[in-house]
Amino acid sequence: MAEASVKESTKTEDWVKLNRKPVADPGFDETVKNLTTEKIEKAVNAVLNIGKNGARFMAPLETCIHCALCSNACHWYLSHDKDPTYAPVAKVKMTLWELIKRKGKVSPEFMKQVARIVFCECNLCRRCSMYCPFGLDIAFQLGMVRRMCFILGLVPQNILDQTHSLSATLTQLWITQGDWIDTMQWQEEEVRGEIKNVRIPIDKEGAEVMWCPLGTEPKVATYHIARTAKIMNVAGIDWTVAAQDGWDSANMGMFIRDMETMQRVVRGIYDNAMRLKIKRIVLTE
Amino acid sequence: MLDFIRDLSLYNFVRGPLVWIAFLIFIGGSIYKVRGMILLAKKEKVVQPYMSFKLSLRSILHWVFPFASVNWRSRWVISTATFLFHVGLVILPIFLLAHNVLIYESWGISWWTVSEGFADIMTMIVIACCGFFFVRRIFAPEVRFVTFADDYLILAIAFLPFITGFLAYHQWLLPHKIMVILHMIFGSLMLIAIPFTRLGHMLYFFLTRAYMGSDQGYRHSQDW
Amino acid sequence: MGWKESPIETLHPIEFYYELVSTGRIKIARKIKGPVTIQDPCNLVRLRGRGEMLRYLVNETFEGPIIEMQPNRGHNYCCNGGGGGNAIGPPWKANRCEGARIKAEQIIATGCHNICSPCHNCYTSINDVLKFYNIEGHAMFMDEILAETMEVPEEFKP
Repeated sequence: MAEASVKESTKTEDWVKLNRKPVADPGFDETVKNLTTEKIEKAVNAVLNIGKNGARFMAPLETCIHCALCSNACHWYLSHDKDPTYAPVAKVKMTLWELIKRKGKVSPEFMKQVARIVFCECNLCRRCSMYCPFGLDIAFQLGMVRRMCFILGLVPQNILDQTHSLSATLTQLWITQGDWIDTMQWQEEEVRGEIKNVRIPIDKEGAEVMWCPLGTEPKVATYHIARTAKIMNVAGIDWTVAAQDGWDSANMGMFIRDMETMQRVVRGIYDNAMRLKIKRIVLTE
Repeated sequence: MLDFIRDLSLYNFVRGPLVWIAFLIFIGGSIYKVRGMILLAKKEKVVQPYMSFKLSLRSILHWVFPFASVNWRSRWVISTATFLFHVGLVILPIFLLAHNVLIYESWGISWWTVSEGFADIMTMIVIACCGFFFVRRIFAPEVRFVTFADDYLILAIAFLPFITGFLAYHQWLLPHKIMVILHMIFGSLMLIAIPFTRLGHMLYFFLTRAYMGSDQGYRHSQDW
Repeated sequence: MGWKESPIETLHPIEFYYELVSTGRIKIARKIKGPVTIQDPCNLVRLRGRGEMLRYLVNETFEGPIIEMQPNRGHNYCCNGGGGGNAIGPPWKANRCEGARIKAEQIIATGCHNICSPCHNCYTSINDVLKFYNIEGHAMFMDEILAETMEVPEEFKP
């Protein structure tokens, strides 16, 4: 099985073209039409120039001895009958090493495959770093490639949309402040059926704990809010949720390496915590 | 052609200046490279504050000894081969009797040496491990997929001093003197190559492990 | 700019619940029946080292026994939903589940129907995997488990 897959991946234009089931994603298919080699070159080199100034990026490049001992760490590799193209080091080879070798002069088709590898075949779970004899941070390297893809806009549509939402509203799923407060009050009413005089304090200054849910919770999974309210009230915690934007702890910017949005989300939470003089922040599961 | 090699001047050059040059490049290059990497790490504000000596040492120790980490245990063949190979690589050049004699002749100092028989077996193990790594590069699909020409090159750089040393000791194949000259040339080549090729993993191992060990340790976790 | 440590203590809910349960602010009234297995979320266990806290909570709230996945704790496989794995959206669902076959095999090997997976990504991903491979079972959040098992004193009853 593993043997076959490599043979199938025929070499065209001198890069390994993977033989994967095609998946239609407008974030890849539409964006790639507007890409040119020049644009890619510019984005790739912009990220590489930042990378060159850091040891976390350079040390693995100069240390990796291509031993492939990381492969057994990867659930993608194990789930695909030890297909060598899913091994962590192979992912780095097919993306980062290739981009460095070509100094970013690659075709949009190649970049599309790179984006698929880094977004859709890797979870940045860092298990490979636990299995690398050198402890190389492979997830960081693939994260840098995600950054290149993000700059080009070559990102799966769903996650890009959620990042846009975070960048515009600081919530993951386009939730307005009114909807958010409304949902909290509605849930408070719901839980009153089970627990007497239950409270979901909104914007309580000086509370001990500020709870930061994910955007999905007020939107589609309100039972989390109900359960948390139950636990907090029974345990007698002095808690609150922030009314202003910056209550959402979902950080899609971190996943696609949109550093600007990422830091704004974190800052939003800390701003709220400082404003309300909170002692501790509790995130959601 | 062999006359040229038999000529004493080549032998003297290889024995004298070449070894000196090789050691100077090796030591100077190593310091330059390690210092450069540490400076790069200092530029990144998220690396240095989290470094911890204790956590680094913990991680390094778990990975220098065979079977001390989960990955080493799960692959006992490559674990054993890697360990023996690297032990040979470090111990043989330093503690070989013949090397010590040379140093004694030059500077009048010497230190503890391994017995000739042990050194012979160890050399054979190192050579066998080179063969194993070579075979693995060719036949293991996940390794073959990420193998480049320079991977074979650095394997050859590590292999040649040992095979020539072995042949010279047993006086096989080529006249002793020629083999010794080749041995010294390849040995110098390896020393020079260490800082400037991926053989530098010998130096960076301690840095990258220290980083990952400190990072995982800071997160109350471990990396073995 | 930045801080080495967070200026305000930031807790994962497992750490917070551990504190509540271990100090007795929440008492466990009943235990959930049946064996249970644990999906260790990467962010909580591999990258925060809270595997034992999670096990303490599961031990308190389940009759047990805890049947560990192999491997477990920091070495557990990723659920395949993290790092944006879920968020890349519905088109990739089949691709994602195929990549998590090892997780399905792990779950089958434990034979448990209760899978404690205290992470939004893990929860979604595990449920998708169970459905994709037709495995009986369900993922469970820790807040779900606690809300079900905790003692609600008389004064809180309506």
